[in-house]
Amino acid sequence: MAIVPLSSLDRWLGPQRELDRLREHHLMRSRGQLIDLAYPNPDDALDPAIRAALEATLADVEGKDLQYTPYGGATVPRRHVARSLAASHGLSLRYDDVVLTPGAMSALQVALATAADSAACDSAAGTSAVNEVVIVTPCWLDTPLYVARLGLEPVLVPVERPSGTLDVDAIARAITDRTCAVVVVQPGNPTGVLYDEASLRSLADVLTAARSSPLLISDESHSAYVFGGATFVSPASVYPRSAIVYSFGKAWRMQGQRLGYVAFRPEFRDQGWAAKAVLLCRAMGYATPTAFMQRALARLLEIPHDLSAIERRRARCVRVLADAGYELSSGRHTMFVYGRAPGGDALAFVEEAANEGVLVVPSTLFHETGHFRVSVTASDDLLDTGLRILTRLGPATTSFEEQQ
Amino acid sequence: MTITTDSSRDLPGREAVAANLETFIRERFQVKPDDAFFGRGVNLWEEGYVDSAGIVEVISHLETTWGVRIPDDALFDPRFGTIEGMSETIEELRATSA
Repeated sequence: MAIVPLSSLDRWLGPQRELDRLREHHLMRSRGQLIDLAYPNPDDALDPAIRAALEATLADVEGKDLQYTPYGGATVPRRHVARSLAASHGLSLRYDDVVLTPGAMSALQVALATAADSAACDSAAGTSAVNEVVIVTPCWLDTPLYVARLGLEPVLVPVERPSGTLDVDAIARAITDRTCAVVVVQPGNPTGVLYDEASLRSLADVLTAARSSPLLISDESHSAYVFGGATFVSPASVYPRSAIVYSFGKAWRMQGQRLGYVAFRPEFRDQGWAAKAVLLCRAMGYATPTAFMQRALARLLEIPHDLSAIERRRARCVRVLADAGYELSSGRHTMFVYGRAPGGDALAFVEEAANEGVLVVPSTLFHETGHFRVSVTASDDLLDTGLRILTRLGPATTSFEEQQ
Repeated sequence: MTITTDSSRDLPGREAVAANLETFIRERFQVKPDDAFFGRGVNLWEEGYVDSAGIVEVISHLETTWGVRIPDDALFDPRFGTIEGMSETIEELRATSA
């Protein structure tokens, strides 16, 4: 696998760089008063139950508890994740099917690298090059970057519009004998759409029929943010050649603590995919999550997620923006609201919003045109201030105050 | 963590060894009370209840608590993967040394 120079990855690096430039410029202009509804760093205080779990973990530390742990993570927290997935996904996973990583970003990298490595083995064994990764878009910003950096070819397949649901026919058309993996985010970020079981089963049928037996990477980083009693169906529960990517930080609202995993379904056990993933952690120089967070994991898994504040803010954001005339995604989940940019130019709209004092994300970061994303993790006051500005920029003539 | 062993020393039975070891493993290796997979017959290494560093702690706990030295052939015996098997081993070692 040849090293791909950054200079040839500009297509994937560019959009985020543009947003960072915009953010820096307007932070300076506003003397730090820019309302940041772009990045989902929560303004809310740490959940007291989570704080207590962290404190209890620290109080229990003894001996070498905070020293190095093996690649892939310590056995005990891996077992806890496996048990948790057994309960939530109905999969009979063992500890050694789970590879702990510092967050979902490295979990996604490891999953892709494992698929790429296995595909490279297939190619070396005489089959044609298997080097394409199908990615459902809009998607998390750096998924195509990771794919391209690994020397693979990102094949972007948009969701159905306007529903935002999976376009299984389009995915089927995109899959070739060269496809080594398919990446789906459930629920979708940024759309907030939760794919239903019927569409996931259709996808599974397509993947089962594919001659290259692609790995389905199910990015479930936002699965805690499923609202209104909706049923979460994991893509990995309906297709055997699946890996689950997850980040605990989002549900616990402490993303910076970097604790995630990739879990391979038991069907891969005989082929040693999880063991290969552990070796790739070593080969790529990925550290494990901190020993402290690994030790805290068992306690943290016991704490139910209280995301009611996010659900309430999300509903409010949808109502205000819809009243302001924005055309919004029908998705009802995640910590984001996604809508069509008035005028159709995502970056121009985001620039205009930033000029007015609120930062949102242009859909170019998610590899789609013409939309923007709002994060609802800010405090009520900041969110309201941001929404007031977005209302002024919306297609309707109603003011924010008139809406109240 | 506090494991009371003094009274257990006087109990030569396999059950006492197993009960003590189970308590130690549950506490030290974060086994939840409602873990349906866990039991005295489960392979502690293969099922991820005890890791490679933990094996040393288990050996040390058994030797300290029961006043025995576990020989290499017992350590590498397949029985030494379960609480039941370890308890049998300790019981046999204590009987031999009595």
